[in-house]
Amino acid sequence: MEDSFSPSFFRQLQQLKIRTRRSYLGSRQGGHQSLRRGHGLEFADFRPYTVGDDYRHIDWGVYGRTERLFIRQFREEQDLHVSVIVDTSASMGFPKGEFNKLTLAKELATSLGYIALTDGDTVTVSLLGQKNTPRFVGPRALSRIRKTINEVQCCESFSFRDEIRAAVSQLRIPGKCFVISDFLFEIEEIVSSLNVLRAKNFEIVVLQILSPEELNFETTTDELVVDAETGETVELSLGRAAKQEYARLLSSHVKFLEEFCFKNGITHVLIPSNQSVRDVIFSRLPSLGVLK
Amino acid sequence: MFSELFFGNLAAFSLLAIAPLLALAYLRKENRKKTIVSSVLILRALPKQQFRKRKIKLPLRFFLELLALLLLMLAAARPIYTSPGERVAILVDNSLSMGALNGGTTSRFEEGIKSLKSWFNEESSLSRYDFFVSSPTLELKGKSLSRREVISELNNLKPVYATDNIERGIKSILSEDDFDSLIVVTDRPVAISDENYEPPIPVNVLQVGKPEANMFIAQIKTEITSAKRRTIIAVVGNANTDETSATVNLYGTHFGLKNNNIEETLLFSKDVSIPAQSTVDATFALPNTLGDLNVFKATIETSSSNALSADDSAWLTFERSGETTVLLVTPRSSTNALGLGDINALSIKAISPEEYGKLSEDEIKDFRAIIFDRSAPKKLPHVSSLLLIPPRENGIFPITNEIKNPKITSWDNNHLITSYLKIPLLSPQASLVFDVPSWSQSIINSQKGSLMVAGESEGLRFATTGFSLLPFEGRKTPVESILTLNVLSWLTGNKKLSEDYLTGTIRILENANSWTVRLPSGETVSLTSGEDSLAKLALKTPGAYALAKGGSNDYQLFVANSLFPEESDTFREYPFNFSSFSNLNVDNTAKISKSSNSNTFWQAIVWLAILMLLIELSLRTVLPLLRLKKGVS
Repeated sequence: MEDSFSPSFFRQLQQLKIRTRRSYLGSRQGGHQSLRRGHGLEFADFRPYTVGDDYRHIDWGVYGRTERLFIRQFREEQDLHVSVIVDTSASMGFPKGEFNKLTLAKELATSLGYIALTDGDTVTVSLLGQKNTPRFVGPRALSRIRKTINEVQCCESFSFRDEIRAAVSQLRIPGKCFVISDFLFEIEEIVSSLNVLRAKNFEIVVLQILSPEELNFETTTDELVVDAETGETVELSLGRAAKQEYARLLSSHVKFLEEFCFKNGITHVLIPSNQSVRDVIFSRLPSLGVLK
Repeated sequence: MFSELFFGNLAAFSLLAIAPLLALAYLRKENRKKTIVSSVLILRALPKQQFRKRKIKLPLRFFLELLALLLLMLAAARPIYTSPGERVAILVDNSLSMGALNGGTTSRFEEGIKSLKSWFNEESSLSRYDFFVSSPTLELKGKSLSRREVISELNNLKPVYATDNIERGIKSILSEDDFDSLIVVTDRPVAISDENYEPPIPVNVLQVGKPEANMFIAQIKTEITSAKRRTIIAVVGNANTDETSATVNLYGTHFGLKNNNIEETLLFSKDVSIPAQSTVDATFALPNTLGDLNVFKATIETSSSNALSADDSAWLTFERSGETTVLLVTPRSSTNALGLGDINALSIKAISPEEYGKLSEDEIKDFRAIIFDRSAPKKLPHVSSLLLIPPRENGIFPITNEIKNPKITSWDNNHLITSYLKIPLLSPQASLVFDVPSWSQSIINSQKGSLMVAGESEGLRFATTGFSLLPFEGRKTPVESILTLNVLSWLTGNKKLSEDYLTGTIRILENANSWTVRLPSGETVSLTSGEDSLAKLALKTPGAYALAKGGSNDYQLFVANSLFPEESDTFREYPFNFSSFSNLNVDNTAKISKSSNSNTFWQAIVWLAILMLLIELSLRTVLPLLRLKKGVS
């Protein structure tokens, strides 16, 4: 992970900004249009003048038309609460060595966190399964966020839904939420987990990372495969037809997630783990409108 | 013609049942490549028919272990490779000593039969067997028998009251040249003193029995003391390393041809103590009046180890009048008159030639016969005489030559002297050769001349032998002994002249068409003689016999005893020597062996199985090390 994060990479990250389709209440002044009416540049609304209001904001044009006093309201720019949820289950630890999914997930999480922090946003990193949900604010938190994410290792299997619920309970202020996982679990669990986030009004971006082996499953004959998380075993002796069927089933699984996300306004990005973090951050996410 | 391979232990093939279990164990073992994947979510959703049939792959180690198992099973099945159609001679020693108990439980005979039956398991089922027993003489019990038939014969066989004659039996069988191999079951060990001797066929000796302590009656005899008192002396032997005590009992009975009551009455008992490997005389002085007692039996009782009971009794009967008196003239010191004292119904007096020279004519005439041993009278006595190895200057039978190891070429088998004798079994080491006087005839001839001459002159009978017949050793030298008795019988005309009859012998009954015999059991049988053959009475059991011609009431009483010291001495081994067969003059490479487990190769199979397991072990241990080394490098 150290190799990807060169000084030039960080400088490039500083140019990026996390985009949101919605406005969220922030906790302090920031760079995002928030729902709060206050001081800002963008006109938001009128409201009747009450004693004590700043009379410099009286809209005399409206008074001329209506002979009533109205105050001009502006959208206040506040910080965005960015949540980065990283799946650290055992399945993310594959493949071992090159193109490891967790490695890419950590790089993405660090990059997104860096972008958010340099933009003055508040970043909360939820490491599913780690029982740790640190919150980072301000540029000084850059090194801490990097260190925190870098130290993450895969843990034993857990219930994705339960962990999402636990993480969400720590997030008081909704905002942008990046969920980084391989989503290789039951559809019902995926759906209920994302619904938890939707219910909290997060703008969700799903970054699904799959390894090249998962995308194109190859096996020698007579293998006994063991699930890294559950320990479940499946005897394999796959022929060509079976491999084709596997590809179809995987495609169907990914497609279902895509469609669910699409229907529910969630951005879904399928990322092969052999893709570099630079490609994702600087090319794919901006093209999808996640970053600008 | 092909050789036969068969198995001595078919039950070992049941080990084959382990083979599928071994395969199952390997198949169940997770020896397929195990791969941990991130998730089997998609894989488990694949329909079952998408999976190819799993190839059953068993590692090399499985095949090595299976091969080792099969080899061990094969070795346990005891494969035996043998040539079919062998003609095998089986000689079973059924002599008296084979009845000795080993450790008080089973007899040597039973152990021998058991060994023989085990030996059969390793023999080809196609072989045929001629089954012989050694005692009392070599007898063919069955010809060209199958294994099953031999075993049936074995089950009906028991030791007899006789000595073994093993050497003669083996010699006779080997000389037949009809067999592919010979197996001998005996309690006598083999002593091969001639390393260069090789028998014509393989000879396997199954030796059974170990030294066992035994008490026995070595001899029973009667004497008249100086006080004219009849005594019976039972010579008791102790074949043991320790001094042993025993009680000797003397019984008397009246044994006749027809009397119903043949119960024995205890007359005397005497406790004796016998030193180890020694004999002691138990002497019983009989009362002057014996009533009608005519048969006496001595028995021994002991609480010590006594392996053989068949030799614990001996019988005696004696003629109370008409004993034959014979004079023995010999320059040799004579203990027991050079053995002649053992001959029943013979009263012997031994003197030196000088003492003979001092006897008067009347004194000489008191004797029924005179035996001149290595001496000769100056003139022909008026008593029938036997000259044994006379000096050259004897005036009766001229001597022409002297030869060593004479070969007997012919004999007069019509003469009473040679009757019922196997003259060729005589093998004197040296002999004088006689010129046959005109009044006599040659009885036994050699390539150089007559070795024995006999004739009659003026009512007197004279005979001479160029080889020694003394000392008289009885059963130890049966041919010579019977020749001696025949000569004495011929000289004295006393047909009742005999030593103790031994069990196992056959009495030839002459000059009558039928005989009535009462056996020791009390049973009475009739024997008849054919036109060209004489009636024969086999003395199978010890005890008293009463013999009468036809329906006559006049019977002859005699006893038969099983007194064989070499058989009774079960504490000592009496090895039989193969070197004595060297005159068979055969040239071959067969060897004598003491065990019969030939033609089996199970040991080689076991070594092969061990080799398989070693290879498997090395694969199990060395290969992973090599892989590790490869991985590290």
